[in-house]
Amino acid sequence: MRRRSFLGWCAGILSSLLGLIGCRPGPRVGIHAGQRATLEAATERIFPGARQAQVATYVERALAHPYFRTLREPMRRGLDLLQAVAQSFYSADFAACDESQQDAVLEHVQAGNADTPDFPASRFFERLIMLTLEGTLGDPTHGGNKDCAGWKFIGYEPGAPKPGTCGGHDRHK
Amino acid sequence: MKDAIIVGSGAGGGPLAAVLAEAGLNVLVLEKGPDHQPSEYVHDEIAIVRRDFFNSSLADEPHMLVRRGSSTAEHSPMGWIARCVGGGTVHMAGHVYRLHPDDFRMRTRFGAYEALADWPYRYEDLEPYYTRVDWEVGISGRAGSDPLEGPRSKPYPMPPVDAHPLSKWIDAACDRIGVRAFPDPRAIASRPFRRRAQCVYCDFCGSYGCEVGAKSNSQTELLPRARATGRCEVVPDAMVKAVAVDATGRACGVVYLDRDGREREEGARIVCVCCSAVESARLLLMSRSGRFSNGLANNGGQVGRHLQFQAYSTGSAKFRYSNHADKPLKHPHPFLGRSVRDYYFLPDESIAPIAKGGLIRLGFPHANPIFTAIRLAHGTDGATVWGPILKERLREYYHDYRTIEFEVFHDFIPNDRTFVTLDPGVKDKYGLPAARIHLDEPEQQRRAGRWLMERGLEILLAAGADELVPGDVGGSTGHLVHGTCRAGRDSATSVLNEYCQAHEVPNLFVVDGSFMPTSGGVPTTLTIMANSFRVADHIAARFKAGDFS
Repeated sequence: MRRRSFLGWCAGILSSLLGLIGCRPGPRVGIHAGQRATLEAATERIFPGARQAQVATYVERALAHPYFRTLREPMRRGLDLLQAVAQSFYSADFAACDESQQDAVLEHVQAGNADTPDFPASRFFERLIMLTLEGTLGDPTHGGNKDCAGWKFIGYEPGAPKPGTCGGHDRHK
Repeated sequence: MKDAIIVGSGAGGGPLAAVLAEAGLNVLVLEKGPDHQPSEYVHDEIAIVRRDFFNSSLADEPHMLVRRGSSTAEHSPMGWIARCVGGGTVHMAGHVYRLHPDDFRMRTRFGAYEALADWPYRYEDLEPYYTRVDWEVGISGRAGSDPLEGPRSKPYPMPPVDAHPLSKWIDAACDRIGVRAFPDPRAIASRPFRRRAQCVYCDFCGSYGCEVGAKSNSQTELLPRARATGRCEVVPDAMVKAVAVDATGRACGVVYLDRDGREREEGARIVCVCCSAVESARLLLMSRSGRFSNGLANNGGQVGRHLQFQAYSTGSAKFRYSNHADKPLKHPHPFLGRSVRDYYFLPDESIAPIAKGGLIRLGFPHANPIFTAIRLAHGTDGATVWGPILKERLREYYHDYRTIEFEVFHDFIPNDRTFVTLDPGVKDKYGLPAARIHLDEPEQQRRAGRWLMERGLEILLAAGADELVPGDVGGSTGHLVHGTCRAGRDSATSVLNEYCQAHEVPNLFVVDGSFMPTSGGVPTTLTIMANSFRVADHIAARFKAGDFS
């Protein structure tokens, strides 16, 4: 477990470096492989098709953005919590649970049953819904909405002018 | 030494900068935010709308809100409008209506209720300046089509922006009910205007900057005029932390932080504070000195009082494609473009404490898909849905029906329980105390709001709606902000005189929504601009006469 998480962190750092070198796609925030698997599975349950649209990549990159700096730790903690609830309910990784089991875990968290005084897990889940929708329906420049899958689903096309490369229009960068 | 320093570059600061520089004054405009270029105004919901492109994050620049009945303050976007050159006029949707003549005499018309007050001037005094905004900034509309508009001296310089073919159905529905829909007046060029291009109908107005410069605002019309004189410098990324006063108690300049965080001072013969109502009050309250120990121009204790937002109610309806084959529901034109002012006054006093209503603006919901999806996820009953149910809701929304919504603007009644102070603990990223907003929405808002929402739904039902969706009733918009430095004739009950000059500091002017004794029942950007033109004319004449030298 410890070894996997160390490797995961290395992978996170490596992808961050790759992101910086390539400029586009931008850097991601460090989450380990286990958290990434949970993130992919949870976002897919929140919006079916999210995995195909690479919403998890969007979320990782969004968390690297200064705007979300205060959300990084709660997201890591929330993903670990989904994993812990899945382990306690089903003795399995969240990502390995079947869809109804995953839904049960998410509903448990959404209902506030996993809230603690120092970690409002239900709020984490609300933020995860928001990030999932951003990743599904935002401009592909930001890492999600692969092949404009989300926009095609709703028949939406924002038209020109589109965002520039490397987020040059973004004053936070 | 400048002739005039203007703090803020939006609806208040823009007209002042243009008129004063053209009158020969040396003008310095200090703007807290960056100077965005039109090339940055991309169609990217994430970068522009969801990452505070036009505003600071609440972590960097908090407003603290204390609601009625609560003793704790929460971080809130209430009262923030913009931080950029051009201010809120850059990202506004630009629905611009004149106030009604009775909006200037609410106390006279409705008597004593809460803190209602008359304005120190009349509609007739502002009318020439409304017309100047129409012609010098560029407003599109049809004169005479708003049945409750006061007399106007000139028509609009441009016809209304084009409207969706469904607007004919709205017109017919209103006819059947007996009210008169009229084309929204917009701060958008419907024809090429001066050097600017006309609207390209891309549907990225509200919350976005206009990439073709068709929006008529401070950035596209007024600041360029000011700069063209060679006598006006606009400095972005400059956060003013205090207005300085000399030994005689006159304003002598400002202290500000430049883009590198260095503290600078600049002297001026007059100082104009145009930061929007909450922030202007905050700047005065932060400007303490021996002579003004409670904040500048606040020895009478009036600064920050009578803060008003605007009351806001909403509703919408679904029109199913399958039931309306006769209507061009799928036509992609972005503007429905219809407003109704027939309910600006309520039929009697049984509906709400005073018989004042508002304006109903009908339109299509904002096209932003993330915003739409989050709204659908939250639904109307509070519980957030996700999974296949959410996906189906989104599919239906985009493929099975078209939504027409309306927003009602109505009066936020000024009261003694809604005001601005400095927060005792919370500071912003500059180390300055945050504004603390105390909010209490009077009964009028909820009761008038409910009745007005029902009228809006009635129009949509008459237009053939399949399903009516009641919305919010009697809330407050956070970005239309008024009061805090009330203008009036009596210095014991007001901060400013009718030319927005501080009673206590003769060369200090507060020129944004702060002066407004009452909010009116329409969005107020046009009024703030018109008043700024009026104040600018007055200041220019005073300089010419040798005052302030």
